[in-house]
Amino acid sequence: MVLESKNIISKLNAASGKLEAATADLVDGWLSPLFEQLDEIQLGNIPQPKRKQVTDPIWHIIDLEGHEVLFIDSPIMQRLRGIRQLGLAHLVFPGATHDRFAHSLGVLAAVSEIYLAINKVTYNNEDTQPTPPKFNAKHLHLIRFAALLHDIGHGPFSHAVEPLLERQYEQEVKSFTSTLQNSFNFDSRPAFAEIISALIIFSPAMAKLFNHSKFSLLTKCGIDNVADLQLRLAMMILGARNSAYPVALSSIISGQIDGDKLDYMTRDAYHSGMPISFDTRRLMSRIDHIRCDLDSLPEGDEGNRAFAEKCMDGRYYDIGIKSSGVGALEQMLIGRNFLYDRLYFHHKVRAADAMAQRLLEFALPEVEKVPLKEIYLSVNDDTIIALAGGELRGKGNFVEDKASSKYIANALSMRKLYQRAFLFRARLHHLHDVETDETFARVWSPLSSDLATRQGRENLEKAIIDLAEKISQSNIDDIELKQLCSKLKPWHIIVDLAANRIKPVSIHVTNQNGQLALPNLTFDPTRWAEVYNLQKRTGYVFCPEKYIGIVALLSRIAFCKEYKYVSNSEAEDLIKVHTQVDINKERMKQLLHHKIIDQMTYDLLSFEQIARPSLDMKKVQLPKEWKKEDCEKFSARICGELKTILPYGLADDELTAIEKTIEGMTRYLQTDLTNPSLPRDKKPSEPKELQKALRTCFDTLGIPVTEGAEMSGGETDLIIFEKALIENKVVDETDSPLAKEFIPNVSAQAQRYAESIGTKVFFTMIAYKPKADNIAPITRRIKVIKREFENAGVYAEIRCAVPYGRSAPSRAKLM
Amino acid sequence: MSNAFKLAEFLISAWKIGARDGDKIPTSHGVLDRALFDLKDDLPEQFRDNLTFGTTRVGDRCYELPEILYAAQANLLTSEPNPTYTTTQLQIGNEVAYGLLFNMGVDAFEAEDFGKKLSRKVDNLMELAH
Repeated sequence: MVLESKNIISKLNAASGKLEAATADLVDGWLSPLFEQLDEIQLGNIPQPKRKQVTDPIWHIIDLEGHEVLFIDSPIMQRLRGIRQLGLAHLVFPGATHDRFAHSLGVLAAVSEIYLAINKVTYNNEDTQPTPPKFNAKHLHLIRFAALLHDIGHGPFSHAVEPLLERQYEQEVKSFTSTLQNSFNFDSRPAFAEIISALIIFSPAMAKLFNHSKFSLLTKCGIDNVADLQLRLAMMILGARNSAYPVALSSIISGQIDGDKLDYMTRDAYHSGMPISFDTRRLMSRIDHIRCDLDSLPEGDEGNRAFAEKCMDGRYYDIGIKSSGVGALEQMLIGRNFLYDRLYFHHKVRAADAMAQRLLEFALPEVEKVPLKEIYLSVNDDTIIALAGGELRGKGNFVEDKASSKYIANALSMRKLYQRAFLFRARLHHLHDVETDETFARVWSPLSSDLATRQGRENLEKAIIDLAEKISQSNIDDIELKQLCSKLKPWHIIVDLAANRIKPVSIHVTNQNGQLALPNLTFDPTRWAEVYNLQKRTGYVFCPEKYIGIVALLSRIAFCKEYKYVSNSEAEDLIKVHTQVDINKERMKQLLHHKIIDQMTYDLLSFEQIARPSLDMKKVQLPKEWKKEDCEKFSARICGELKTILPYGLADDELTAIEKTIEGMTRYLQTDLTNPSLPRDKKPSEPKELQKALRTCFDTLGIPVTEGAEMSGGETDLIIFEKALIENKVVDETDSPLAKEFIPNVSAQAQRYAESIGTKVFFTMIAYKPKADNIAPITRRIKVIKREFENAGVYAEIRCAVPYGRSAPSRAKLM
Repeated sequence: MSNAFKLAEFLISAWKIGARDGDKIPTSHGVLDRALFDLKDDLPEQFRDNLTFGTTRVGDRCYELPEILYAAQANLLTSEPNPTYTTTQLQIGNEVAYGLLFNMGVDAFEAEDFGKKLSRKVDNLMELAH
């Protein structure tokens, strides 16, 4: 099969929108000096570069071909010298100053070694049938050049800035990925930097380079057209597979055991001084060149079997691992995990990375999509900090004289990294010993989900600053607190929760029968790594050192207000907070008195026993006709939803009234199924018909009911136990009587009455004419709705729906 | 990544209240991936465009599922994988599940119906595999 490379490239370019032109523009500038050099070579004014060797701490000697030297010496590669591999980690690990340039050369060395390893396997299996393909010098040139290009799309600060770009260009990334999927398989969606690398390769300037007679990459790779070369290089970097290209070559660049991993892990550990070693030699010696066809692929693996059938001779070869190499693989996976925990996710490294992100967010103009040329400047990371902070001018379009960017840039330059003021982790909630993981998930899950997004973290940062502002402008007597709050600025607060960057590794092993399978591990290091990582998953609120005390206090309040999360003393010990702004009762009372915090926040932060219980459906006698499973689910739903709306619980008398009302309402609905209380053939003439029917039911159950009390300028319908309220309404034909937006005025009216009797829960009973004869089961005709009223706060409405005007009861859908 | 956490809350809660065995969810060998692929149009609207599928080296997979399962553990919704690594234990009860769905604005009945369908689909796929 031959791919229409030009066509595919054109589609991918189109899918990437503005990124295509922006990238092409950058590449023009980067390659311009190289073209001048090539022209000089062509004219005979300067010689063609010869082979060279460079020494490297990881691979010792790296051999370079002439054309590789040419390319490496051009700005497109030289700019990688200014991008540190580990972003700002050198501020914490002084030795970690190695850059993407050195890593790219290292990957070139690594892929050359893997190539040799595969060929060794192939030669050792020369007599097997079918014979595995042998790779030759042309393939080697191809993978080496792909290795040089694999990180070409990285911007400043390496991974620190990717989230910013991914958010801004989300649509383009999605569109590119979806277009890619039309022609290729891949293991995971490409990262932003990888997409930029691909677009760089697709650019007209790169095409011109590949075509240049003095560059000769086409000849060396044995490929006869430029578009094909461009596509193959890009797909290797993206880890994309097509039946037209050797899969194993792609895997060497971007696969489960690839050149990138083999280099970066060893290099990062070495330069940072981490005593984590990887048995790279052993791993490479155990690499396998595995045959993937209908005989070897697992039966259920339809996708890859279909892929194999499209390949030449109905098979493809990929990189796998011999079963005797699983130990070395495990070592790599475990070591990788420690690298992430101790190096990449070190709290100070995280602080520095987060500061770099914020710096760019503040310093770049506020436009929907920042042009790439404002970020991909041909200067190093430190110069970008100086430019963004306004200390240098002349490059980039940074907003001038912004206090925020100046402050952060200065802090980074002076190595005044923000410090931890507050720590949050799943199992460091103060009630965690009392509550189980199960119930605590109610608090932790929404918090974790929200703060996994940049928007969620931004909202919380704003909440902290808003608190500071409120306090500083209030009339509280606490002058010290007011003064501290008045000094805080938005750029002093960073909420950080590290994203999971560890991708799972899944690789095939060939068993003795020649079948491919996932490794049969009694101990799966990937899963272990996940568990380890998750146990330590920690979020922080960072701030400048001198504000730690006040930010700690405000964070504590904000986390409690927004998420009901209160960290325990172990959390404070872990971050060794030296300066405290005391969270004493007197202070909290003042905040409560001035309505800066509410009663619930006060109680939670004061660690006072929360005496208010929640609804206990065990006390409610649900209709005996209901199945046990339905009763359990109904009870769980009502309780779970009420707790979400009113987490602070309810007073005892409220609860009794609510329990009895639910009992009465469910009984009414059940009885109505077989013995309709409302007219079968017409709309009830008055709402009082409905009210009378309801009242009768409650009377039968012996539940005290008051009718028609005058309150808040109106007349209520029914009041149960003086603390629960039912408002009745008859409506016309509808199929959504429970919809929140349906008859909101009834809810509003009920809320006014509820406020008068001092309850946060009210009931509404809606009699409706169903559009179709198919009526929902009773449990699905009772719904909890959250209502928020200006100046009155949050209420819970329990809405029930009873149909009228339906046909004979036997055709109604019974429970 | 962000959507992975919300998807985790939805998927685990829906499974809890709708599945035949709401205490365990299959997490390996592409079973859940395949089931989600077959039911992707039945997802609530806010999640429908968030799942993508393709053929990885080790079979047909949902690209977002590893992140979703990671998020489920991170959010205390599921435990760490059990020794056989084919299923994961759910850690939440019905009450918490309903509460999470409500907090996200997902209709409980829609979630329950999806959970039921997903469970049936997984059972079918497991039967076919054997």
